[in-house]
Amino acid sequence: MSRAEILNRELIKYRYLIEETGTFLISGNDAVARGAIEAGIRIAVSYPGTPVSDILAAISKVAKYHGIHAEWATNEKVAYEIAYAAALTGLRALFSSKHLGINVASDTILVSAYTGVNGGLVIVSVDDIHPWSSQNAEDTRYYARLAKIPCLEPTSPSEARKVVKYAFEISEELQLPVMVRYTEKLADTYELVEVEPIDKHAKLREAEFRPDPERYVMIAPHTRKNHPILNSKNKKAEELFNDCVFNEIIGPEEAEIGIVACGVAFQYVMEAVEKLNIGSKVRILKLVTTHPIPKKLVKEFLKSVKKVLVVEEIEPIIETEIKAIAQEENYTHPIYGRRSGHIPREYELTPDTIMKALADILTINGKNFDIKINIPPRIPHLCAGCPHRISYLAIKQALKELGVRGIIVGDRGCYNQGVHPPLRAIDTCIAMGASIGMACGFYHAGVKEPIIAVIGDSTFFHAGIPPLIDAVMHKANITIVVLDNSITAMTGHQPCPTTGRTAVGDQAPVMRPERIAEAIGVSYIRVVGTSDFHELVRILKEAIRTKGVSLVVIRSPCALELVRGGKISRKYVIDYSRCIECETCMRVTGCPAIIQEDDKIVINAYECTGCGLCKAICPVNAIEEAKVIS
Amino acid sequence: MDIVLTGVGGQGIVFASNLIATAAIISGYKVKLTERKGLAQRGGSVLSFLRIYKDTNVSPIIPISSADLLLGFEMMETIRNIRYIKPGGVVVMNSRKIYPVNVKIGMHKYPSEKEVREILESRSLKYHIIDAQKIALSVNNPRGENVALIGFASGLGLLPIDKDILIEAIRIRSPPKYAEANIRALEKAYLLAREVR
Repeated sequence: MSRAEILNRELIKYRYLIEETGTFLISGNDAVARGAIEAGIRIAVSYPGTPVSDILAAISKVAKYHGIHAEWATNEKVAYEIAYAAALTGLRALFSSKHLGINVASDTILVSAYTGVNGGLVIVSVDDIHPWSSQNAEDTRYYARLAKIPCLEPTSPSEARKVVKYAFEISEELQLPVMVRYTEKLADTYELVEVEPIDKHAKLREAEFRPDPERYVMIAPHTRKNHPILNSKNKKAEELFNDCVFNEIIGPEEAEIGIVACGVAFQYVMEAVEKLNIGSKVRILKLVTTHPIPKKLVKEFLKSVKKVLVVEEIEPIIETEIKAIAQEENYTHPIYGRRSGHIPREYELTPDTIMKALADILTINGKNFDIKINIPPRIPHLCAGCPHRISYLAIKQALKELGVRGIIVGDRGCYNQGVHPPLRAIDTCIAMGASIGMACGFYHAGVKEPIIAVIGDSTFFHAGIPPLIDAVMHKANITIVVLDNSITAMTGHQPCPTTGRTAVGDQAPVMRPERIAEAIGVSYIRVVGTSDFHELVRILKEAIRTKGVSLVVIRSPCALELVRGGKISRKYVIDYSRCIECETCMRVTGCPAIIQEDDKIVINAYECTGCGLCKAICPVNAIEEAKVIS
Repeated sequence: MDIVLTGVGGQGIVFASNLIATAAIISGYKVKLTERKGLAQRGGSVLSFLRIYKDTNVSPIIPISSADLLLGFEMMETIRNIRYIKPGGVVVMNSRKIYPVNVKIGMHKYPSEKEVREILESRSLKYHIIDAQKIALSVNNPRGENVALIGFASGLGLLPIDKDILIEAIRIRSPPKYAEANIRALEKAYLLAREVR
C-alpha cells in the first residue's frame, strides 16, 4: 500500500464501507460490517448494546448509498423477526446483537431454524464475556446448539470479514440462519484489513415470498415434519466444515501437545507458543466452524497428538464435545482445559493465561512477573449535568421527606451508574424492562415500603410495556419513573422511539411513554423536567403517595447531547463570600464538574453544563448563575 | 514494539493511539490496536494496547511485564497499569491528577507523589514525569496534552517512527482546525525531550 493511498483513505471515516478495494485500519466490528456489505445485504437490523453497536452504527451511515434498509429496532426480538422475514423473501439480511439481546431474540431464533431461510441470514452475536459492560458473562454458542444452526468463530478482524461472507453463502446453501460469534476483544481490536468488491448480484435481488404453509406455519404437525429436515441440514453442515478453509492445522505432523483454539484466543495461543519457544512441540488446530463440530477433522487431529489443550471463551463447550469424540475414538490421552482447571473459568483470556496453562502442562518455566499494587478504583460516575443525577437525588429526597426508605428497582442504561456512591440510589438491576415486572413482584409479595421502578425511555419501549400492562391489570401499588432523555445514551446515542429520527437520519414520529401509559389505563401520570428540583421532589412525593400505578416521566435531554449541540446557555460559580465550605455540592452530587483545587471547592467552567443541581441543594445559597459568553 | 496508553476518558487517548498507529503504518509496520473503553461515559479508566510489529505473532493483548513503553496520561491510571511494563522499559507519565468520585467524597485516598515515585523506583524501569498540560498550554493548545506526551516520547527516541511522519499523521487524523495547534504541541514537547536526552 502506498503512502498516497493511506493518506487518501484515512480522510473519510466510513470510506472502508464504500470503496471496492483497499486496505484500512478497522476494528473487528467494522470488518464485520464490511463483510456484510460485500455479501450484498439489503437489510441490517440491531438494537444498541456494547460491544456490538458499532456494526449497525457504521452500516446506517452508508445504508442509503448501498440501498440497505438499516434500523435500530425496538428490541432484539423485533430486529431478528425483521431480518428473518426479509431472508424468507430471498434477500440477504444481517442481525447483530450483544449476548443479552440474543436471549431476547431467542424465542424466534429457535423456531426459525425449523423453517430455515431462502436468502442468507446471519446472526452476529458478540459476547461480553469478561464482562466489561454487561449484567452477565454469557456464552451464546449454546444458542447455536439449542437452535441447531451453524456457528462460526473468526479469530481476527481480517478473518471476520471473510467469515461473514462465507456465513451468507452457507446460509443459502443450507437454508439455515448462521451465527457468527466473537467476543468483545475481537470487536474492539483494530488492524489493517484488505477489502474485496461488493456482491452486486445479491444486492439486486427482488423480494419474493412464496407461501408454503407446511414450511412456514409452525404448528406441531409441521414442526414434526421439519425436525428431521433440520437435523439433516446439520449433518450437511458438518460435512462442509470438515473441509472448510478457515479451519487450519499448524505445526509439525506429530507433536507432544495439540491445541484446539477458537476465536480471538487463537491469537493468544500463537503468541504464547512463540514466547515460550515451543513451536516444534505443538500442533495447533484453529477451529472456526465450531457448530456443528467437524468430527472427521477433529478425529484426525487427535490421532497426531499425545495430549490436547482446548482454548475457547468462555464455557468449555468445544472441550466437552471433543471429549465426546475422544470417547468414541478410544482416545485415552489427557484433554486439558477448563474442566481440568488449566484454563480459568471466569474472565477473558490473555496470552498470560495461555502461557501459564502450557507451562503447567509441559512442566516448563513460563511465569510472568506480575505485581499487585494497591491503587484505589476509579468508580464510574454519571456525567457532569446528567439529568439522572437530579432524578435520583429527587427520588431519595422525596422518600426522605415521606420518612421511608423505599425500594428503588433499577433497570439497564446509563442510570445504573446511580448505584455508585455518593448516590447509592438503586437496589436492583437485572435485565431490560425488569424494573417494572420486579416492582409488581415486590408489591404482590407484600412489601410494605413504597416501590419505585426506574426505567429509561429506550428500555421502556424495549421491554417495559408488557409489565406496565400487568401492573395496571393486577392493581399493583407501585410508582414508575421513566427517565426520558429521548435517546439511547449509554451505548453511544442511537435513536429510539422518543428521538424523532431513525438510524439513517429520516424523520420519525416522536413516541411518548405517557401516551402509552394513558392508553393502558394508568390513572396518575405526570411529565416534568429537571430544571426545578423542588417541584420534581413535590411531584414524586405525590406519585408515591398515590394508590395504584403512578407514572412520572422525567423528560430532560442527555447532557452530552447538550454539550455536543452547543446548547449550554449557563454555568454556575461559587460565591466564596457566602460559601461555608460544607462541601455539600461536591459530596452529595458527586458531580465531576465540582472539584477540589488547592484548598477550595471549584466548579470547573469547562465541565459545568448548567444543570443547577448544586445551586438547588446548597444550604446557604452560595452558588449562582454565570452567563455564558461564547 | 509494544506501547500501553492509559489515562481517563476525555483525555484523548483513543486519538493518541490512532495517531501513533497511523504513523507506524506509514512507516511500513503492521499494527494491532485494542481499546478498552469500558463504559461509554466520560471519566472512566481507559487502557489501550498498541502493538507495532513486522513478522512476529502478536495478539490484541500485551502480556504482563512485556511493554516497551507506557504512556501515562494520568498518574493513578499509570500506576494501576505499571504491571505491563517490561524490565528496562520506559514510562512517560503526565503529572496530571484526576480525582475519581470515590476520592472526592473521601472513600479513598489518591496516592501521593511520593508514593507514586516509590512504586516507579521499585521497578526496574526508566521513567519521566512531565507536565503535558503546561507544555500544551505554552503553545496555546489547551487540549494538546495527548500530542505533547507523544512528542516527548518521540524526542526521547522511544518511538520507531520519524517525527515528520508523526506530524503527517496529525494532519491526517486531526480535525483541520486543530491540526496546527497539535503540531505545535508535538514540536514543543519533542524539543524539551531532546534537552533531557
